[in-house]
Amino acid sequence: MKSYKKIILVFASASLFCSCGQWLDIMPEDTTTEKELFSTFAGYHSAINGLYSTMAQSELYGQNLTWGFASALSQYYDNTSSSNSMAYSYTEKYEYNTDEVRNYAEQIWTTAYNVIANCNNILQHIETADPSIFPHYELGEMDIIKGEALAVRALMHFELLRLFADAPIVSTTAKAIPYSESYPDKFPARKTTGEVLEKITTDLKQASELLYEFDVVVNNLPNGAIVTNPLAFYQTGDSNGLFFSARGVRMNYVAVNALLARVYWYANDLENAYKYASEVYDYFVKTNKWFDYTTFSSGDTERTRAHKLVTEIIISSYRVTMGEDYQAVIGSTSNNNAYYLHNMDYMFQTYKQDRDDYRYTKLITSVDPTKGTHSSIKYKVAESQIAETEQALIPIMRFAELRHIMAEYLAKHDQINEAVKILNDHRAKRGCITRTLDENMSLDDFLSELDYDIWKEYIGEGQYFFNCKRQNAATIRKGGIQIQMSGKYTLPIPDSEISLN
Amino acid sequence: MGTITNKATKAPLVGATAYVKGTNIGAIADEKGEYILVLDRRLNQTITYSLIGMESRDVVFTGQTHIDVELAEKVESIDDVVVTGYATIRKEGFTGNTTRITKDEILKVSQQDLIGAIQVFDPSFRITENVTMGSNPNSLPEFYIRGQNSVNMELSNTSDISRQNLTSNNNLPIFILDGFETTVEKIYDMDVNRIHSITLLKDAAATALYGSRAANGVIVIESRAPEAGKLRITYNLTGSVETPDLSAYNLMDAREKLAAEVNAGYYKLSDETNSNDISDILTYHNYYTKKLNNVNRGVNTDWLSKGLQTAVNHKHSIYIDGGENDVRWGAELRYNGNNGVMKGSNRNTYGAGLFLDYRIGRFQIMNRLDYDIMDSKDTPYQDFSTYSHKQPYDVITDPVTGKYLQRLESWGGSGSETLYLNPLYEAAYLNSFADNKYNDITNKFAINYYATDNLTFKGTFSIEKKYSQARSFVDPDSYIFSSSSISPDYRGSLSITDGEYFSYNANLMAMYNKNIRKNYINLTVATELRETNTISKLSNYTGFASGALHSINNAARMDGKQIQSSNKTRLASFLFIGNYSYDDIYLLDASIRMDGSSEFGKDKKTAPFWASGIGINIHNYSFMKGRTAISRLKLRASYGQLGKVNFPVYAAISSYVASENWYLTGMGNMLQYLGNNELGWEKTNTFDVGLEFGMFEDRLLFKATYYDKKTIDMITSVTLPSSSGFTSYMDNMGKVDNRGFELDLRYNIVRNKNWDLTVFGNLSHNKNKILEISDALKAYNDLVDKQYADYDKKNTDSKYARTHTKFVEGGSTTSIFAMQSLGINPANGKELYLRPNGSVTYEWNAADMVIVGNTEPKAQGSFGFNARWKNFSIFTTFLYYFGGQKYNDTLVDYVENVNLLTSNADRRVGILRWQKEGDITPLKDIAESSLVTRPTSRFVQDDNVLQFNSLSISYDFNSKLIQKWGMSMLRLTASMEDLSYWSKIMQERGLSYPFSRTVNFSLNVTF
Repeated sequence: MKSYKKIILVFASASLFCSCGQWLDIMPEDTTTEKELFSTFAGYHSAINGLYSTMAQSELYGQNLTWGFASALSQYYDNTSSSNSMAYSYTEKYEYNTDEVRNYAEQIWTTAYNVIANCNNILQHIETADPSIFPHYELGEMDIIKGEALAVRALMHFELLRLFADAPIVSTTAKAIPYSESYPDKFPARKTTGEVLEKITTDLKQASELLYEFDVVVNNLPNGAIVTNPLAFYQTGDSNGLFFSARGVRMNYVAVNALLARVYWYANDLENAYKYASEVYDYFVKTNKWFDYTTFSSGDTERTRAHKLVTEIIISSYRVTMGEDYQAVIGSTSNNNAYYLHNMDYMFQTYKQDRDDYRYTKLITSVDPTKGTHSSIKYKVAESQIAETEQALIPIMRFAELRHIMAEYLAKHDQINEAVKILNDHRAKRGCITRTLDENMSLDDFLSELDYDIWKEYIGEGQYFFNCKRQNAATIRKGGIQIQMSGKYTLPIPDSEISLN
Repeated sequence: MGTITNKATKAPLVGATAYVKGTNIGAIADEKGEYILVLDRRLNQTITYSLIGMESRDVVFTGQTHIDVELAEKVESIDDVVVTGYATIRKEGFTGNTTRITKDEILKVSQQDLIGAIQVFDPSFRITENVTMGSNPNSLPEFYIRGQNSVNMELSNTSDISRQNLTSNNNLPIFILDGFETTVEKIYDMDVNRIHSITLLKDAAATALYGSRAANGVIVIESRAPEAGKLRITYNLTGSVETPDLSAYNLMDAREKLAAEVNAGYYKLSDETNSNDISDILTYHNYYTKKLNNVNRGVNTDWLSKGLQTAVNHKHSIYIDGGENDVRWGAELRYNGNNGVMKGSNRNTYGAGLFLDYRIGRFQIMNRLDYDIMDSKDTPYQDFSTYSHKQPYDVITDPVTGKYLQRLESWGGSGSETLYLNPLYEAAYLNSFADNKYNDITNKFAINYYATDNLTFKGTFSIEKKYSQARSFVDPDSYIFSSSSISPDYRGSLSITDGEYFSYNANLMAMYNKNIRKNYINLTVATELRETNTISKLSNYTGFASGALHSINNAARMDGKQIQSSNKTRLASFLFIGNYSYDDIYLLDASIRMDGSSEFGKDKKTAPFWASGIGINIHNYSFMKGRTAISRLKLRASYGQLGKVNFPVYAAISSYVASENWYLTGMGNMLQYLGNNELGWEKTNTFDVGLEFGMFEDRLLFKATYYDKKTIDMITSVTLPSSSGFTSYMDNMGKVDNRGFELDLRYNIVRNKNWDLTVFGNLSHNKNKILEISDALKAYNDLVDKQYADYDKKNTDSKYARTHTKFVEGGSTTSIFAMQSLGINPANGKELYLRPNGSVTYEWNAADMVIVGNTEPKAQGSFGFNARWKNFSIFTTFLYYFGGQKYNDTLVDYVENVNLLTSNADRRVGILRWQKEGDITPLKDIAESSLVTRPTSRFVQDDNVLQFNSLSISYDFNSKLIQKWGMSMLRLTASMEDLSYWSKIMQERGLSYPFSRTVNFSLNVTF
C-alpha cells in the first residue's frame, strides 16, 4: 500500500500550505501595513512626519493656504483687467460655484481631512502602544507624538472651519463642519461652529500640556540663541535623533499656544486670545528671546537679505522644493501675471504714507514699473539664506500676530495708548519711522491702523481674508477699492462631501 | 514472448507492459518492442497489454508461444470529455454544466477573434457591445458569463470601456490555459490555430475546483499537443481585408447641413429683432454667404472617411510535430499582423513555441516553452469623435499649398478654440504617438507518474515573465502646448510606463480511480501554490525641441520622481474532488477547495469553497438501451458556493506609503487607503439544474438549463464623504441575483457520404436583480442625483445628458434611470414629465427619476447551420438579442441637443424637432438647441438586434489528389465576419473608433 502513503504525503504537504499563514501575509514592497508601521518607534516618527509632509503640499500650506488661493481671497493679487483664463480669476471675484474655486476647495477639504484621518490613526495606536518600543520614552517621546497629532488635528479643523463655515461672530450655532476624532470615521457628523471651536481648543490645550515637558524643560533653548543662529529653531543635529530636532517645523509647545491665541481671536473671545498671546509673547519673545525681529542692513540687496523674516516665525511648514516651486510659477517669463501684487504703490504711498516700511522696501520687488506691479520675494531663493532650510520654510504664523492681538485687546479695553505703543514699536521695527501714530487716537482710527498693519504683514501669506472674516467686515480692501463682502466669506462645502449629516 | 507495436505506425512501443490479469506477473517491452512473459501453463488467463496514451488490449492466453500485439492510440473524442484544467473527466459521468468547443468550430466562425467566437457556441457567454471603441484592435473586449454580478460604482460621463477600465471589470471570468490562470490580454493575442479546445465551466460543480476565483465562471483552454508519427508540417495562412462600417452614421452633407441651419432660424430676422441684434444678424449673414459659396464651389468634406483605411492583414503559423511514442516534439512559429481600420493603428504579435513529451515506463515528462511579442500602435488620428461631427462645408486644405490647415473657420460659433482645430493637421504633420508592447516568456513543466492502473500522480510547475512598455508622446508643436504661458522648454511630453510581471505556479495532484463491479469511483486531491508579482513604473519627461527627436535623452527634464507601484499576491490551495457513479446511471460529484489568499482581509486569510452535484443517466437503464430512438436522457443538478477576490490588497489592510518629499525631521508615511480588516471574499451561491435529451444516436441533441446565481457579500467600492479623509473604501455589501435559463438545440438532419447538414440554435435568458443594497450605496445614488445639480448655471454642458444607473433594491445593475416623459407638448414644444406621485410637470427633477428601461436583453443567443456537400462546407452564424432597452445617445447629442453652429448633425434633425405650434414631434423645440436635455424616457428605445455574424465556405482537397503533391491535408477557406447588423435603434456605433467588416481567406496545409 505504498500508494496510500503517497496520498497521505500529499495531504500532509497540503495542510502544511494551508497552515502557512505567514506565507500569505505579504504586502507590495512600496507599502507598509499599519501593524508593521506602528510596531516600531521609527514608524511613529514617520507617521508624524507624514502629517507635516502632506500639510506642506501645494494643496495646503505649500500654496493654497498661503501664497496661492488664500492670498487671492485676500485680494493681494489683482486680476480685474485680465481674462478669466488666469489663475484665481474667479477666486478674486468670489465666484465660489465655478470649477476653479470648487477645485481649490476640494483640494483643501480632502487633503486636510486626510491629514486628520492620519492623526486619528496615530492617536489610536499611541494609546495602546507599548512604551518599551520607544528608546527616548523618558524624554516624553510618546507625549510628543500624541501632543503633535492632537495639535495637527486641531490646526486642520481650524483651517477648514475658517473657510467652510460662517465666522463665529455671525453664528456659533449653525452647522459647520465635521470634527473627526477616530479612525476609521466613515461618516463624521457635522458640528456647529461653537462645538468645533470647543473641540479645537480642547485638543490644543491637551497638546500644550503634553508638549510642555519636552519643548520647555528638556529642550530649553538658551536665551538669545536666535541672535547667534537665526535658524536655531530649525537645527537638525539633536543627539537624540532627527525626530527630536528642528522643533520649529513642528507643532511645538510655543506653536500650540500661539495657535490658541489665533483660535480665540477668530472665535471672538478677546480675553482668552489676549491671555495666550501675551503669555507666549512675554515669555518666549520678550524674556527668553526664542524669537526676535529680523533686521536688515542698509546696503543689502534682494539677493542677500533675509526676506523670509525667519526669526519671527512661530508656526512653520517645510517643503524641500518650496523655492523651486515658487520660482517655477512666479519666476517664469509667462505665467506669473496672476501672482503679481497690484496697488502696492497706492497702499504704501497714497493710502497711508509708509514709504519707508520694510514690507514695501525690502520684502517686495517691482516687476513692471510701468504697470506698477510687484511680486512678493518671501519665497524667493536668495543667497543670504544661510542654509537650504530657510528656503524651504513656509510661515503659517508669526509673533507679530500676537502683538496685533494684544494691541486690539488693549485698545478695546480702554488702554488705547498702550495699544498704540505696541503698534508703534512694531511699526518702528518694520522701518516705519517717518509716521508715528498718535497715542491719543480714536478707537476707530486705531483699528483702521491695525487692519492696515495686518494687511501689510501678510503679503504673500494670505491671512488677511480671515482677519476680515473674523470681524465679518462689510468690505475687503483691494487697493483703493472696497469690495462688498456680504455672503462671500463662506465657501460651499465641496461635492465630495457626499452626504451632510 | 512477442512484440508490442503501434497499430498506426508499426513502431515498437518501448515501455509497454504485458500483465497477467489479477496477478503480479508481467513484463516490459524493450527498445525493439519485444517482451518475454513467463507464464504457467494454465489456459484462459487474460493478458493485458497497455501503455500510456494507448488503448489497452486484453488477449486470452490459449497456449501460444508468440503473441504480437498492436495497440491503437487512445482517441479522445472531444465530445465525450470535460476538461477542467485539473483533470479530464468523462462527460457521461459528470454532473457539472459545461460547454466544449473545438478549434475547428472556432475557426469556422473567426480566424482572428477567439473570444468573439465563443459567444456563438454558448449563449450565456456575452460580450458587451463596445459602442465607443468599435473594432479597435487595441481594445480588449469586455464580457461575462451568466449576467453581471457586480456593480460598477465609478461615475463617468462617458461610456468609455477602455483598456484601463477592463482591469477593474469585476465580471470577467478567469482563463485557464493548459492548467494555469492567464490574462485576458494573452488570450486576446492568442493564435486560434494554437488551440486544441475551449471549455466553458458554468455551474458550481464544474467551477468549484477554482474556489475563490470561480464566481464569474471559468474558461479552460487546452493548446495542441504533438502527435506521434512521422514528421508533419502544418502551415496556415490567413489574409484578411477589413473595411470600416459606417452604416450607423447618418450625417448630413454640406448642402443639407446648410439648409438645416437655415431652417433652424439662424439667419432669419424675426419680428422681435431689435436694433441691437441687427449687427449680429448681419455677421451671421456674412457667414451664410461664405458657407453657401463653399457649398456651391463643391466643398463637401467627408470627415468620416478622413482617418480611415481599408486594412489588409496577413497571419501565418507553422507547426511542426513528430516523434516516436516515447519522445514526441512540436515546434511552432506564428505571426499575426493586425492593422486597424483607422490609419496607423495596429497590433502585431509574434511568437514561438516548443513542446516536448517524453515517456518512459510509468513516467511522462512534458515541457512547453512559449515566447510571445506584442507590438501595437494607436492611431495618430486619435479619437474618431473629434472629427466625425465636423462641418461638411469646411475647407480643410490650404488652396495654395495643398497642405492641411491647422485651424478651421469658426463661423462665429462660441466655445473653446479646440473645437475649430483641424484634427487632420496634427495627425499628418506632427510626431505624436502612443504605443504599447510586451515580451512574454512562459514555461510549463509537467511530470506524470502512473503508479498503478488506478493511481496517477501529477506535478506541474510553470513560470511566466513579462515585460511591457507603454509610451505616449505629444509633439512640442501640438496645439496643447501653444499657449504663450508655456515656456518652450516645457513643450512636448513623453510618458513611459514600464511594467514587469512575474508569476509561478506549482501543482501537485494525486488521482485515483477504481471500478468495483458497477461502482466507479474517481478521487483527486491536489495542492496548489501561486504567486504573482507586478511592478509598474511611470516616468514623465517634458521639454522637447522637436517632435522628431523624442527619445528621453532629448527631453529637457524628467518631470518629478519616477512613480512605482507594485503588487504581489499569493494563493495556497488544497483541493479535493470526488466522483462516484453507479452503472453509469446514478452520478454524484463533490468537491471542496480551501483557498488561502494574501488578498483576503487580515482577519480572513483562508476560505472554503465547495460544490456538489447529482445526476441520472436515464438512457443507460437497460430498458432504454437500444430500445427507443432516445439515445440520451440525462438529468442533473448542482449547488455550491464559490468566491471572488476583486480588490487590491491595500483595500483589506490599512497601509502606509511614503510621502513624496523629505520633511526636515525625516521621511513621512501616510495612509494610502481606508483599509477594511473585515473585508472578505465575495460569495456566489449557484444552483443549476439541467436536462440533456438526444435522439437518433444523438443526431438530435437538446440541452436545457435553469440556474440561480446569488452573489452575497458583494464587494463594492463605497463612496465616502471626504471628511472621512478618503473618498471611498471597499466593503462587502449588497446582494445581487442572476437567474435564467439556457436552451441549446442541434440537429444533424442529413448525414451521408456526399451530404451533411446540421442546424443549431441557442437562447439564454438572464434576469439580474439587486436584492439588497447598503446605506453607502444609497449615498452613491445621491451622488448620481448630484450629477445633475447646478443645471441652471451650465445647461449647455453635455454631462447633464448622460444617464447613470442608480442601485435600488428590486432594480437591476443595468437599469436605465430617467424622468418618465409624457412627450412634447404640441402647444409650446416643451417636454411634459410624469412624476412618481402621478402629477404632471414641466420641471425636471433628479429625485424623480425612475427605472425606465434595462439594457440587459430578455433573451439572446445565436443560430446557424453547417452544411457539407462532398468537399465543400459552408458555415454561418447569426447572433441576436431582444427585449432590452437602450438610451439613444445619438438622438440626444446629434438631434435633440445638437448645436448646429459647431457640429454636424444627424439627418433626422430637420424632421423630428418641434418647430411651430401644433407640431406633434418626438423632439423638443428646434430653437432651444443649446439647452441640454436631461435623462428622459423619451430616448429609451427597445433594443432588438440581429447580426449576421459569420459566413465561411471551405474546400477540402481530395486526399488522394494531394498525396501526389506530398500533402496530407489541404483546405481553402473564405470567410466573412460581421456582415450585417440590423437594429431597431438608429444610433451611432463606434464613436471613438469605427466598427469594421472583415473578409478572410485562409489556406491550411499539412505535409
